[in-house]
Amino acid sequence: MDTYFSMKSKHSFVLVWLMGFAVFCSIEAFATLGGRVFTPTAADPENISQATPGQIVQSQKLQAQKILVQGSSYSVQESTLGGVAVREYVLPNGVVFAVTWRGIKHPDLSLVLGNYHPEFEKLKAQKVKAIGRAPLHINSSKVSVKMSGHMRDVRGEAYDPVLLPTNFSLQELK
Amino acid sequence: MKQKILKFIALSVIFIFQAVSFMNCSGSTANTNQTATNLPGVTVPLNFGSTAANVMPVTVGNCGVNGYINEPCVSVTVCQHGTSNCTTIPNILLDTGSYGLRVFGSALGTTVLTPVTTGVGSNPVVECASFGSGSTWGPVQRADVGLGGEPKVYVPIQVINSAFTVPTVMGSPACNTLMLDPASAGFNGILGVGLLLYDCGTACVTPIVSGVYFKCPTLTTCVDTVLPLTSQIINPVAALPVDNNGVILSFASVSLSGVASANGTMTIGIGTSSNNIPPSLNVFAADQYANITTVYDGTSNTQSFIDSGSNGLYFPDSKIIKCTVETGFFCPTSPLTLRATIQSQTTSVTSSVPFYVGNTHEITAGFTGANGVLNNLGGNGNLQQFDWGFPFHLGRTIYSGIETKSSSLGSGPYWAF
Repeated sequence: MDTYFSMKSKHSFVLVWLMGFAVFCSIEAFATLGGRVFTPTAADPENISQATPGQIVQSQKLQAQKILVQGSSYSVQESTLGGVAVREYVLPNGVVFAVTWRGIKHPDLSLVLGNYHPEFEKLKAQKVKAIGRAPLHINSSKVSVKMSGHMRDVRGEAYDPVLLPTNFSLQELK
Repeated sequence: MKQKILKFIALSVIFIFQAVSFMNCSGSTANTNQTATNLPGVTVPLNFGSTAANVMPVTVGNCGVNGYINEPCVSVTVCQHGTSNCTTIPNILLDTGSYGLRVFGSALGTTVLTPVTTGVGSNPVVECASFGSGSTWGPVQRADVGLGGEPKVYVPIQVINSAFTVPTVMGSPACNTLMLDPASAGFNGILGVGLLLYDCGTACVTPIVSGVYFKCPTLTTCVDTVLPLTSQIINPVAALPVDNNGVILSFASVSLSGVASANGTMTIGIGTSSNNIPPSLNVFAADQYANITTVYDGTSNTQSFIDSGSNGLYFPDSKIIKCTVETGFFCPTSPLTLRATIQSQTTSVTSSVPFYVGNTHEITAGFTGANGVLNNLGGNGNLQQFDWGFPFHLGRTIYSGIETKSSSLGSGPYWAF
């Protein structure tokens, strides 16, 4: 007798696999700046096809995501990454156009910045050392990164100026 | 007509020292004309020149060959435990925005310290300590630390070096934007004497966070670890036998045109000795992050802080013109006098304070100028944060009370001025 979970039914297997993957990924998926958020749901398994390999990071350190803003032009979801609250600002097509964070330390920047990290490192290396201890500002036509705060409460934000939604105010990055 | 001309000349003479204020200050809704009478009142730092055991001289603007603008620095003595094998390290950044002592390994000379270890394997503990704009990486080691003439305290400190390899997590380094050496950092170390006891605290005991303390069975295999408070890096002031409830930073005012260098003091302890008894002051209770609130330009910035280790005033303001060269700094077309209200996080105490923002490109000469002390260096900060950096200290005597400790001003964490 076939059960619902029978391996004999290819479609049932795929459905169960998707549902399990959906539960797993909805709590552990995280996308870098410029990448696509990967949060498939059972109701919309098509989301999986939007994911770009290599831009999805899964970690045991990631804890539950929560949706903070669900707007028509963008949404905001927050993940906890090693104790650091990381917020992703997501376009309707799933692309992350900005990331902000607050916590005891800065998150792994190569993870958060993704393909923008080399540009960040290059511009940071060009900064004048004599500036001293000030917030770090990196600005180019490709990426903007700001890091500030003090021990046990550091902050940061990064965005791709090209990807910002129309009429988006940087004041909305919180 | 002649009288009018004479009157104009007279007024010009009267205000000759306020010439700056005649410049057009348009561009921000919060500004007023800039007058020297607004400068904070301290003209001689508290206990200036004193040789008392709890007073440390602080220099600003001349902290070694790679020093930078508005860098307050002190000398700290670090000794091998129980011995006279000591090194007195100059040019240590005095930082009320952090907790604990960190020194570059290269500044220690031949002084050998005691590694802090953890776990069954007694593995060395290494830390990634995060600051606003960068991190320090290196082992946690115990040393006898001498602050001024205070009794030395045997506490964990961080030795900043690359002896241990930064581990990678999912292909990314677990500690980044590193301060690598004194030459690039601009100091030999950081003395964190702010409002909190530990550089991580209970979050690293439970653990709520990861990526702060690591244990390293070998030089190349560091992994996350929890660490009890007794092994964590501690604010060394809190470990003192008597003067352990806070510090008092005091600096004289400087003119709006800046000066090459300045001297100030750090008096250790609040109301613990005849030289550190506080007058009646506004006391601003801070939260668990050592933050207070600053209302500026109609916005309540609830994650604000006072930080001697930030070299400017950094706050969110989209209206002030930004510099094109010095990214992140303000370059208004004319000097600004602004005002903000500092609020206690838990009580109704507030204080309205004026502050100054000049054209960074001009007042620093593109960060190549001779003036090492500027009270009008400012730049853009993240939302909700008003960083009252070193310029705020000029002309003020600021009391900082450490958490769990109390004085006649109240229980820490608090700021008072």
